[in-house]
Amino acid sequence: MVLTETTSTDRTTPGGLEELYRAHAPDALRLAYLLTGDRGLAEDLAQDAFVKVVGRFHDLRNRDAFWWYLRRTIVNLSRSHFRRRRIERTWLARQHVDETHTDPDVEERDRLRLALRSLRPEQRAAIVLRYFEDLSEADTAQALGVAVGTVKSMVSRGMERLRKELEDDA
Amino acid sequence: MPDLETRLPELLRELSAEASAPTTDGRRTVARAKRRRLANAGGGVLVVLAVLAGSVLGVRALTPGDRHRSASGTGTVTPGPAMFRGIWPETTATDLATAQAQVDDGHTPLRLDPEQTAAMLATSLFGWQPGDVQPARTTVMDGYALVVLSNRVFGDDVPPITVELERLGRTGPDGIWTVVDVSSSLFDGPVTIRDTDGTIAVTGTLRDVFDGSTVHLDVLAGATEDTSSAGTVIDLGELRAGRFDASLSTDPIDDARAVLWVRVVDATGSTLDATAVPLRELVDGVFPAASPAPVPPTVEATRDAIVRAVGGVDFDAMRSLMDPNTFAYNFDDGSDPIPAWKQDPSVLDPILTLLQMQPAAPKRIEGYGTFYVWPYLVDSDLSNLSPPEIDDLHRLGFDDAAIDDMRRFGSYSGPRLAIDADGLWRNYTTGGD
Repeated sequence: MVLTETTSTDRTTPGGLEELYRAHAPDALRLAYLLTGDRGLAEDLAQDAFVKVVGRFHDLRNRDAFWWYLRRTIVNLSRSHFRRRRIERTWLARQHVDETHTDPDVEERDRLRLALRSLRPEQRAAIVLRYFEDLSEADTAQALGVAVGTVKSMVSRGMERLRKELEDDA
Repeated sequence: MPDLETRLPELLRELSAEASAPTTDGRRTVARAKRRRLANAGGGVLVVLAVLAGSVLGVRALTPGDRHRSASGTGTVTPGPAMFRGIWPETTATDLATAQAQVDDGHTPLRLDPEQTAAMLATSLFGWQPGDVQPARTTVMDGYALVVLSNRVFGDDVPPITVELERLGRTGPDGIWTVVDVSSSLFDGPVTIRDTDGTIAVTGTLRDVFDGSTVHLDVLAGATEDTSSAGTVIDLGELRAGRFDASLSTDPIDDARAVLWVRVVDATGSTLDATAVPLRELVDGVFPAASPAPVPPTVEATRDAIVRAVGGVDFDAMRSLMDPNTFAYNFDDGSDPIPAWKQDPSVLDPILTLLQMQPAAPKRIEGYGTFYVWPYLVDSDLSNLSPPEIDDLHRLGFDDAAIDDMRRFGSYSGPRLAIDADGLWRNYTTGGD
């Protein structure tokens, strides 16, 4: 097989990939952080997602579409990460120990962080997309690649779990 | 926290602010992205020019398998031994027995799970990363399973790959699963093969052509055969309307079983989509012509498309295979069945079982054309059913008492489905005379 390089044309928006990265990196990082709860992992994941999306889509003129694909890739990568390494179970076991030493005056945000981490990755993704990304149930279903009914179920059970975790910690 | 729904968006925003700015300026990420885009031939970077021709593939099997796909050819048909239905990883009964024994000894327990076995195919043969394999839907019925696989990084424009598996040996929960068919709606109609003087001509059409992608043809004799240096690469840029037409040169090898894998590969080497064409024995170094196919290629392609659509509960895909004005659902001619199926998709479940069986002999119906009807049981002599026929009736949900009732009634009264000679899905009946 012979590979021959011909032409290369940058069809991204004015400013190219650098501008695209600057425009989306903070949002990507925030989303990845909520999905993973780990700052370093979130940064790696957001960068990998950016590379994957740029690699797959040749025409990046539509920034809205780019974010849609980037968001979906971030969600998929986070789910893949948890599934592949099974760190969730390990993390929860560790977290269980940590919780016994939780300061009773811990702030609401910290309690939410712990509560979020107690959710299954799919539930966490559904809740973050619905309440942080403000997506509709249909759009959330599309982003997660599941049925709308599944989203309803995941959000409902996730919220129930969040309430319980937050009440227990209060 | 009674108002969690109200407070949650603000809490999430506050929490996300802990990671509001990347610690790097992103130059390395952008550089990686540029390399990735280059590798993916974005903007028309890479053009695959050459065809690896005259490959010595080591093939001893060059006619279609017992059920799947068909081909036209020349020469004399040479009967071969009973076909083994597996195409991956086992292609012979001996291989199957060996693999089962290994699993019994505690090795590769994933083979006891059809979804995991399908995922192994994707990672081993298609080069997918384990974390990217996404089983979109899995249906398991007795010893048959249908797994719809998508790759989470490809995006929605790449159709999923449908993998059909069966427990070809042991039928209980400790029996291993083997892939018996792989198909994708990216292929428009059947991939046909024709052999002439030791060369296989392969023809097919793709519904969509992805920039920078190529079609790879490889013949594998089992899962372990190394064909990395063999195969034909076709530049999709040369195709007209996605049609590909190529030839493979072959030499016999000892392994008596082989499968032609047709893969659409992107510029990074990942297989976007694939279909498999089982090949039959080559006897005495002569390529025999195709055995008479049970159904024409157009009918076979529709059969595969129905399996994919029903397995994926894809009503749009089902609708595209039929003419709602003429389709008959439970003897109701010209009624659009989709609303009823949406209301109760379980009525479609028998279709996957039906289409694993052989069809009956084609039936010419005056004014309607030639129909291919599944299952073959519609032609069976109910007063003298063979053990395999009784087994198939059990698979369709009939117990012995129901089979006796059917005998008294005098004809098969179970579910059936027909495709006409043009490849149009003409009817589906859940039961009755």
